[in-house]
Amino acid sequence: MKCSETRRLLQEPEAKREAHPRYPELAGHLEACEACRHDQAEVETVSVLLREWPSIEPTVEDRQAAVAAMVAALAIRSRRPRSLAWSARFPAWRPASAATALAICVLLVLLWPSGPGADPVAAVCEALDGVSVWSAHGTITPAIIPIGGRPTNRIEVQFVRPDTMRASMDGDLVQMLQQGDTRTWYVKPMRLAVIEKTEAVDFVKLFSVNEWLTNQAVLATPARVVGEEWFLPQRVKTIEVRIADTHPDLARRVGLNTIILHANVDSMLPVHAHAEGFAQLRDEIRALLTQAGVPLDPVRSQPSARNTASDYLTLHLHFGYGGAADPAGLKLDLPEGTTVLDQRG
Amino acid sequence: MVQLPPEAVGAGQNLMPPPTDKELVRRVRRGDREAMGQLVDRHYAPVLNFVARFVGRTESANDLAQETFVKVIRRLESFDDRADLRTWIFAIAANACRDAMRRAKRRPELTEADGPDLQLIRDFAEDTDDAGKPAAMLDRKLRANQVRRAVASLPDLHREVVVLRFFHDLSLKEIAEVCHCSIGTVGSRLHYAVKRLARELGPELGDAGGIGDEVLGDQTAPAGTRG
Repeated sequence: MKCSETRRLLQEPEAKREAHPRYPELAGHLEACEACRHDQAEVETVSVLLREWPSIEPTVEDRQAAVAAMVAALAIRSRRPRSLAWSARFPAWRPASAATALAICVLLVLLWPSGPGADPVAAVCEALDGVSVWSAHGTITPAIIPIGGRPTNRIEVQFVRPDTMRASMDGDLVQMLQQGDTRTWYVKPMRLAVIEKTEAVDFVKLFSVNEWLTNQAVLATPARVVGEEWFLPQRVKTIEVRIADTHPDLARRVGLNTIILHANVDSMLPVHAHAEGFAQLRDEIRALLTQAGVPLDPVRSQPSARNTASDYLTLHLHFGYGGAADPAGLKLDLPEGTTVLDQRG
Repeated sequence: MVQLPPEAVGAGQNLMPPPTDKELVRRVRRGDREAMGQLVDRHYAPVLNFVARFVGRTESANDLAQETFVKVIRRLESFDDRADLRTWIFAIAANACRDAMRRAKRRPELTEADGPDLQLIRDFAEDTDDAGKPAAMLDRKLRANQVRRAVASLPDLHREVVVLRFFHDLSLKEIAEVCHCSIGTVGSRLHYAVKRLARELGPELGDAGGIGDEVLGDQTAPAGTRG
């Protein structure tokens, strides 16, 4: 038994440790290895000492409040009003929406990099086929579209690979950002950004959000506000939008009838989506990365057992810091089979 | 405030075997309030303690725990029945904590841990359990505060794994699921966190009758002994 295995085993809770197939070897290794005995002593003693921190026992009122909050959350979901137009709900956004739409289009024209094809979305689609290598989950963090504020169009798609992976920087490095232990590279020509964290490597790519943003009619209007809650001091709206009937192809391709925006009115609209088809989406990203000259580790990773065994995707639609925004300007393009969760994660 | 039926909280006190998490989830999905009460009875205390220790603020722990359960009910449709409910709930709670800390843009507040003396004196006056052993009680409370302070001083990522491992007995695999990282990363974080806690609490450990100085005084593992 190696020291690394011993250390890992020592870190497990006692019950798990004893159930481990190599547990019988542990005692022998510890007897022979002073360093591992030291580790064992530290783990056990810290474990003992941490027990000095007493637990909190929730009161009956605490539990009642939790159940009440759950019941209320369910009630909000089931009490969906028939129809509420965005313009009626957010009159302040009405005059600015056209300007925003125009600004978005201009930004996209100016900022979208020239890829292998004229249409980046088409390029993405052409690049697909094949490989399913990415594991379980990813996030998209698209679009900051403020009105009356500085327009930014940072759109990110992140795919997390829990196994180790290295991406070379052979491409044309445009920008690198570092925040905490997360480094983000933006690489030409596909505006790929690779985020490397200490524990995972994420892939970031602008993809069909382009279509989503440029095609103003993709989402049916009016959207519906289906709930509003206060998580003091924040106000959160739950908003339902649908893909317009005028885009049957997109609706079919996306397989997404309803999008639930869980909207922190102050700054952010996280959209949470789930789809079996995200494996396909990752294939797109993989193909794009390959085209961009980023060598990929061919190791296949296993689907995550967390939450669901299938893939999921989280979209965070960052909205107008300090200013109102027009959610009607959001266009979402997700792969077939997508369903939407209403919460982060 | 939503009026709850009396059976919604603290339910399940009969001779029937307690429902499994899977059964509870199925019933809660159908809107069964009694099942919601049972779910809360079963998982609220662990979540409350987790968020209190992770965020470092007991006073906001109930808010975060409640927020967690609201998220649980909203996301329950997406819960994979093959997954472990406890781990899933912890993952939601951890996300809520991270969001809260990000919003607050600050380290966990150490007020409780940093300024325990007044409270200690109050507790000392009120505590009857140790009436016959005031010194022992004071010692116990001081040690608890020292532990709080040491845990609160850990980086967020390390504190999270320490709390999940040592207070909730989650396996490395389960912690990895909660933290969205690899098992190796969990192991690494735990390793460094334990080293740091041992270093900070070392003298206390000796006083508490734990491991002696001959171990904790030597923070460097003997060279050349790793296999």
